[in-house]
Amino acid sequence: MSFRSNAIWEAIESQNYKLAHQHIAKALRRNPKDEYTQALKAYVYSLQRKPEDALTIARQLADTVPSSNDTLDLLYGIMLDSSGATEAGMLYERAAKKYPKSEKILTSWFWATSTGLDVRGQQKAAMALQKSFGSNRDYTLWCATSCFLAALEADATEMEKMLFSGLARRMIALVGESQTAEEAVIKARILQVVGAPARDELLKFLTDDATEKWNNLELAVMRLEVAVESENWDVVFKVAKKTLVDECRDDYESWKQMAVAVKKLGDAALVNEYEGLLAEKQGTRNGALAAVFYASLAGDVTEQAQTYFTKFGRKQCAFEDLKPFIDLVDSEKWLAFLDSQVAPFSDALGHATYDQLNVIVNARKFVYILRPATDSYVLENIKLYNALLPTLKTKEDTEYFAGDDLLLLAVQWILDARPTPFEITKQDVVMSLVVLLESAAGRDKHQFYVRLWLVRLYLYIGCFQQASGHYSSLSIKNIQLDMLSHHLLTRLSTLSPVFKTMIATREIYDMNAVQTPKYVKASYEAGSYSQVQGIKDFAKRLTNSVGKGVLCVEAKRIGRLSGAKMDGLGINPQMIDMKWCDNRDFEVLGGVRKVGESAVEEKYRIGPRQGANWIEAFMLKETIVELWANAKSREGYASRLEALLKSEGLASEVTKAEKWSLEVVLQLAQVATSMTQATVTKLQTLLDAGISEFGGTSESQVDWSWIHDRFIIFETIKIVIPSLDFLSSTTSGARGGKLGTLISAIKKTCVAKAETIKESAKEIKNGRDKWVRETAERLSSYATITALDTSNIDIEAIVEGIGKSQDEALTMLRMLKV
Amino acid sequence: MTSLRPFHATDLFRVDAVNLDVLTENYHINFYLSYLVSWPTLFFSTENPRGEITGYMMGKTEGKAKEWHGHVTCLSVASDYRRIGLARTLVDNLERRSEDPYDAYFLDLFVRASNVQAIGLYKGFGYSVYRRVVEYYSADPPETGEDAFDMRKPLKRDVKRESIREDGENFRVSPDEVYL
Repeated sequence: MSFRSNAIWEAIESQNYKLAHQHIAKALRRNPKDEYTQALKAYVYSLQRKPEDALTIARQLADTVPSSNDTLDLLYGIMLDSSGATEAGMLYERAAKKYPKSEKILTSWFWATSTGLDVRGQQKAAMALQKSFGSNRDYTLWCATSCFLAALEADATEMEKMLFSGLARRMIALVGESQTAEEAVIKARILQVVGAPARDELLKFLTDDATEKWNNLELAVMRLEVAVESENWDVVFKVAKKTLVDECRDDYESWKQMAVAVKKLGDAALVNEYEGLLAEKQGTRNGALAAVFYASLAGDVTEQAQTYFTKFGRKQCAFEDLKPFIDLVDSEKWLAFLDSQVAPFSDALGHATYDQLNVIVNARKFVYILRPATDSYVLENIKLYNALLPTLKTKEDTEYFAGDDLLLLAVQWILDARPTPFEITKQDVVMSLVVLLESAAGRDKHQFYVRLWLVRLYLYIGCFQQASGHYSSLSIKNIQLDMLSHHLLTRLSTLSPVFKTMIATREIYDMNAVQTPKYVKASYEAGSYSQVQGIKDFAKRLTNSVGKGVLCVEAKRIGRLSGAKMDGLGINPQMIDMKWCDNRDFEVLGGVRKVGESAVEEKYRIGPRQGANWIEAFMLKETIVELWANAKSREGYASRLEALLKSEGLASEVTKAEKWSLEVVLQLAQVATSMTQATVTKLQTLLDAGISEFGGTSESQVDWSWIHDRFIIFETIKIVIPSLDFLSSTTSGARGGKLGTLISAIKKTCVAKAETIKESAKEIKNGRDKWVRETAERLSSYATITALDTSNIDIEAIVEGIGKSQDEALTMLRMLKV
Repeated sequence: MTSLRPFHATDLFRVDAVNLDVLTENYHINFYLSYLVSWPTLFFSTENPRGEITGYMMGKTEGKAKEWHGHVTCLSVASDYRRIGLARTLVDNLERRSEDPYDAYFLDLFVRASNVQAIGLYKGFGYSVYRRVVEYYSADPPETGEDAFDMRKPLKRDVKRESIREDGENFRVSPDEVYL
């Protein structure tokens, strides 16, 4: 790189784009034809979020078909971000056509498309590379892999799947015998994606000695999988037997499929052999469970489940292990059996061992599932929990107290509105459960399920700070942030609009953008073909994460409410069409339930689950708000938002207040198109209705939706007032006369309503002391609280914490300026 | 019910039940990906029949000549699936793979000298303390770092069992003398 380029890069890296442009201008004065410097100019524009300027230069340069790799790389990245993979890919295609013998350009093309996650472009690049340099075995393998990936693309047509998989098969045949296990894996995967025409060949390949000699887990798993798919039960039996007997690997999937094969083949000798093996291995967990599964193929499994539980009921996983078979047991017999398992130590619970504790908890989980009408369930669980507390003395700090599950089950029971002999008023339900779980959390430092539930319950009652404290104790970081941060950050802008909390999550997306592409490349260079697809999919899922999309919108809204600015997480129009991937983990709060049943936590979410429709709608909203001066661009987005607002998809993802805020912006867009008495009056009516519905000052309890609705009102007002100011300044006749008066009235009403909301927030805050006393008194009187050993907590302090946390949100509301 | 499965990058989206545990480290993305690329056969998981990950092993190979060995970088089991032999299953599989295809002499791991539970666990698997690495685990001043035990188990290739020794707890080395 030249000295001048270094200076430009230094300016770029210190984000001094003005200086970068100065250096670029200087360099171009000396050498106007320098392609790389021109490309740098486009690059700096893209960093400045001026995609149109960047694209203009990039396209001009692309037309000259540059030959320099550095220039092509830069331009590719710019075009990929600003206009998409197709146009970006054309850049290299043209260069490859012009310089077909340039191995450098062809490999650059391959790396740019593979690390840019453009699978179709990658497949083209790989074909070109293989065509020109087919003697390089690696290139042929990369080509086979690229065609394989192209066949798997979600938007590939049936014809394309056939074409790409066929190409992959041809390419892999060219490399001859596999020289590594990784090559054998990709060959097997390619044959698998070809489907039925290659199934026999695939099975033969997988069971061949030459393939088995690799001793490779991927191939072993595929071997059984493919045999099952092809319903070749003889082979299934042999493969499973080899794993379990010859290799002495206690693999449940092998046990399971061997049982299926035995049933399908109906051969008495094989039945004997399998049952003999089961008898021999019934001491192992897999063997014992295989016996349950085998029995399930015939019907009732009660006896085998009892055998299993007798041996393994003392393990925490016993409930999860037997849960899939719950519909095949005689419930009453089963519950009576569980009682008999608990009975021997039920009089000495204070001295229960770790194993006995697990038996009790597992038994209670089955009762939860099988006796949903037992109104004594909650108090029984609390009684058991109290009785087991002395066992905490022997517990290691880093171990979990299984007794906590008893309280979690009680919480779940109450949230599910199952029968109880006591009443808790609707307004107190969640708070009373917070008390139960704070007691548990106080005794068991690291129990994460308890803490996750506390995060949820605190958020539900509008206590972001309390939720945040428990969330922090979980030390969620790095990739976990994508899957789990939604437990705290859902609707952050309308619960606690502060950037600080989202920064760590934002950073994971930045990290992915920088780090992951290197490993896409590395997987090819290292010949780790078994990992290529996974790394590519990982990169894509994180790049297109719903979590990221939501965060981008939230960052914008927090900025609007707080007046602060956050770098990164910008919204550009390309993102509106993104196909988002939802990596969020809700299952971690799934709790105890039958297979296929919905989780109780769904009823206590912080609003409807946001997804692709929510992201699209709010990105459209943000884009429209920035385009008041550009009717042509704006109208397209407004039409899209209008259509989306009518869709069921969006209806299931937005709160009522959110929907209203979108409708207001849509109406503002109408006003922007044609500022008339009619359009402005309609806006006024819409505003009044929404503010009245969502900002009412009648007696209502502060919870997440109370806070959310009011922040939405403020956020909407903070869009409406400056937008009306702008629009009336650019529309003739809008400043005076009836229209001017109407606009003034709207602004005055908005400001007045905002003040009313602030006043009601202040009133709530002023009444806090009384509220704390009365609430603590009420909570302390509930049967669940009086039954629980709460000696380790101070209920009033907990209620005070709730009050303080809600007051923080109220204070934030009151500090907002409109 | 446990089945062993190879680990892929997208499995990183499925390990919450394991990684929320206080003892399990959550590494940067590049750390996981570097292992997957460099040692794809030494990174695997256990799953229940619903396909949920219940534990995983991150292993690698390193060293030269008779120090060529497999290494346990990270072994984690979900809290709900402890004490059922999953750790054993994962370690056994790493031993198998370190022997074939890597043909290693031994398998080793580092554990805090105070972690009595883990030391007991690995001794039960046939591991012994080879040496004490003084102040291997760093701490913020004025605290001093904690020692690590380098625990080893000889594999088939180490016919003469030269990779282990008696009384390793008292054989002190500094971190510089250890593989990085």
